[in-house]
Amino acid sequence: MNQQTREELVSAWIDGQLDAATAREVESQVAADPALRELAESLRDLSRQLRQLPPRSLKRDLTPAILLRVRDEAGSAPDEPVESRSVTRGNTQGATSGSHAGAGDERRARRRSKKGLWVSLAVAASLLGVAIWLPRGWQSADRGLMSRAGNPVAPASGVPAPASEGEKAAALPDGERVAESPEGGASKPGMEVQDRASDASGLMSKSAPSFDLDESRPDGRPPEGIAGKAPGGFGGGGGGRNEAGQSNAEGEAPGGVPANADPAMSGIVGQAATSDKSRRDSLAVGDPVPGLSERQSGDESDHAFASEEPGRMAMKSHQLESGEALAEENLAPPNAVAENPNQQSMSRTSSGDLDSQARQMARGGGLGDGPADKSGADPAPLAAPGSGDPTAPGSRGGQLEIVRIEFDASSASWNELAGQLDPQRIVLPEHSPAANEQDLVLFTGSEDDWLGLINRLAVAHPQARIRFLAEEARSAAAADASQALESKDAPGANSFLPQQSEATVPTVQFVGRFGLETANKLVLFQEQLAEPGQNQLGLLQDQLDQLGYQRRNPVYRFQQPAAAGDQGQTGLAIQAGENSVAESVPPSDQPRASLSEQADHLASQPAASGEAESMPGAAGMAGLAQLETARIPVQRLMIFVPAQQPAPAAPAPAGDRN
Amino acid sequence: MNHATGTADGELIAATLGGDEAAFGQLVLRYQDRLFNGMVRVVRCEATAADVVQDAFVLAWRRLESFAGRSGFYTWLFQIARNQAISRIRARKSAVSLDGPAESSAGQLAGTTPPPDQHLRQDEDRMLLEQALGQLSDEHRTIIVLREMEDMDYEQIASVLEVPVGTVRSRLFRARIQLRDELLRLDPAAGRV
Repeated sequence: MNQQTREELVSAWIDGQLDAATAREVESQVAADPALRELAESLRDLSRQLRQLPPRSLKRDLTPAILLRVRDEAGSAPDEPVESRSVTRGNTQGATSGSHAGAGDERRARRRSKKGLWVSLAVAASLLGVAIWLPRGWQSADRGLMSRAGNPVAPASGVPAPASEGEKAAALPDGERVAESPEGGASKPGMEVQDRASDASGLMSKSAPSFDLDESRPDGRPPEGIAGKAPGGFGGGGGGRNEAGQSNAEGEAPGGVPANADPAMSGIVGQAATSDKSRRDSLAVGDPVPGLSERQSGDESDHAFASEEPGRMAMKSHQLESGEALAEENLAPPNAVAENPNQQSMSRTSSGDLDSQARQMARGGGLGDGPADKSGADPAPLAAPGSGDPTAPGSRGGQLEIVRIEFDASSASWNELAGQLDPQRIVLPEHSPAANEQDLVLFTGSEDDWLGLINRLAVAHPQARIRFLAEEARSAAAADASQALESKDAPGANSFLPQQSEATVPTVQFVGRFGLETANKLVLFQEQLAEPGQNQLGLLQDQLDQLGYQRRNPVYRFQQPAAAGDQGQTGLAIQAGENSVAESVPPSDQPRASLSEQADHLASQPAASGEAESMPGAAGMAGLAQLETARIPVQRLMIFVPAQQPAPAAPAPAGDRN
Repeated sequence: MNHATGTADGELIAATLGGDEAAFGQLVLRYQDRLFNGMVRVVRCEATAADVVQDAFVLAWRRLESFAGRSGFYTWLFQIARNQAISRIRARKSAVSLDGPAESSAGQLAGTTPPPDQHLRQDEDRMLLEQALGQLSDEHRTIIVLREMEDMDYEQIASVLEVPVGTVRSRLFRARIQLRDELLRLDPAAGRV
């Protein structure tokens, strides 16, 4: 045994990593050799010092970031290097530390080099293709020239055809293809619909739920059987900003609901405020109603504009069942739109055009908007209810822009509906820096069901700050109660919100978390409510009271009194601020009229002392009347866009609202 | 790593493989600090160490099905992290120093007299030790970390480093001698070591 081996054994001996026999041998050597004893002492001391070094601990919990990456891993290509994905994460999550930027630079450099490789490969493939094609082309051209002597301008047959969209996409490097996606990354669970709809331009008309654009009637009357009569569909409209002359000359509320609209419509109603100078468009997504299908003819796609009224964008859901509905849409007869005599079709030259316009709408401009509209700097004023002239007394002057989407529990499952909703079709006004408020408030019954939607909304509308208000996870008992309510013994009940279950408590903590108290207006909907304080909206409102919200801002509260067998669609109750209207709204065939009446009544009430600023007054009520476009069988999802504070304005004539 | 912990790890691993993301989250919570403490000694940079820890966990999640359980989960995880760390160290080899505080403390030592306070002296010793650790080769520093800070036995170290136990013994001895010499070089007065 040489000296080094003996010293190594001493090192291992102080670590206790020797077998018993060897340890005894080393022990005896150390006892006999002062040099080994000194070595052992120094190594022990060194070990002690090392073990006394204070542990370094993380400055933050990495668990969320790691789990997020894991989720992304699950949804991304398995062969992608982990480092490259962490760059994206860093961008989205914020830097984990200062030096991460350097690491990120390295990753980006690697990614760039990888991207360059892809580009090089694509170029090489293109050159190869050209090299293969050109000789044939020349030969064909030569033959063509020979055969078409005297017709030198005839196209040579050998010229390669332009790459199809799919070929182009295939030729793109991964990174560039991903860049087409608004998410800027790999697809995620729950993002399928948007992925499908917002993929590379040109794909929309092929794979996204088809949507039809029908020019509305010139007289502004809504066509029949569009949004309001599509069972299971989702339709919508908006308190559109209409130019003078474009609004209803017959005194219909621009944001109003056609009188024949079925209040019991099931589905989703998207309501959008959008400027529309040239025509009144609405946009229906994949409507199953005959006449609302995308038509394609050759390379061109005709899109029927299904407008229900001026300046509104309507969204109609279809009861999508896997790809069947899509296939049906594509197979819809070209003349399907003619089944609705009130619709006029409008052609689009290409799906890309349609896509760009849809995106334009998503940015806040209306279809057909000119450049001035696209700027979104000065949105056209919102026509007052009952007034075709936004400059007329009672005009809201663009002070109220509401984008709302309603979902009906009687439609397909909420998840399914949420999945169908294409955020690109949700029109948001341009974000106003002056409106230092949240842009969207979603109030719904289940967080889980809507997270995907909210994610997509956030991607589609990065300018919007989205707040989500959800019901707390229900206890098993509450779930059971809900199950019971779902039974036939409880008509009108639905599974989504267990009505009046004491075990059901809204997550009032969300109020604080998401800053509802900062909203300059709040509109709450719920059907089949009992007394305030005994239902979710009541509890929510109590919480808002605690936050002092109502001392500053109005709450518009819509609720439908429960009535056995009426499905909650026979009346309304409105509560705004301290003023309230009795809930005993009689069943009516025209619930919108009831709403208007109540809005008028509410508007006529003098605001309580000290509430002059918080109560919107007549102008607010005029805006409230706009909400009758909510098609009062209101359900639970609400997207609320508080723009500016309403400007004082004269009350709108009540009689014009319907 | 005691048996109880290993059993719990196994359950969490099984749950993770069954799709329970929260179970993996528990594993992360359990080991992130420990792994970070080891990695920060290896890579000599807290931010890089945090990156290494993240990458290691993500890679571990990706490869979890291949974890056979022959070693402990943490040993396996450390092996992944160590490979990540080596990659990063190689990529950043051109950097002058990855340990700012150690550099500054070294500068202070060059121009100042040792403070009389014993507490400060201990801090100074620690800084010296950190600096000496930084002077070791990656190979030697890693094995020091594994033994002295991770408290791994030679078998575990051999598993992490994928070397025979005999190599662990000899490498660890050399690393210790190098560290001791570095300390003496940095502070000859510390001849007691």
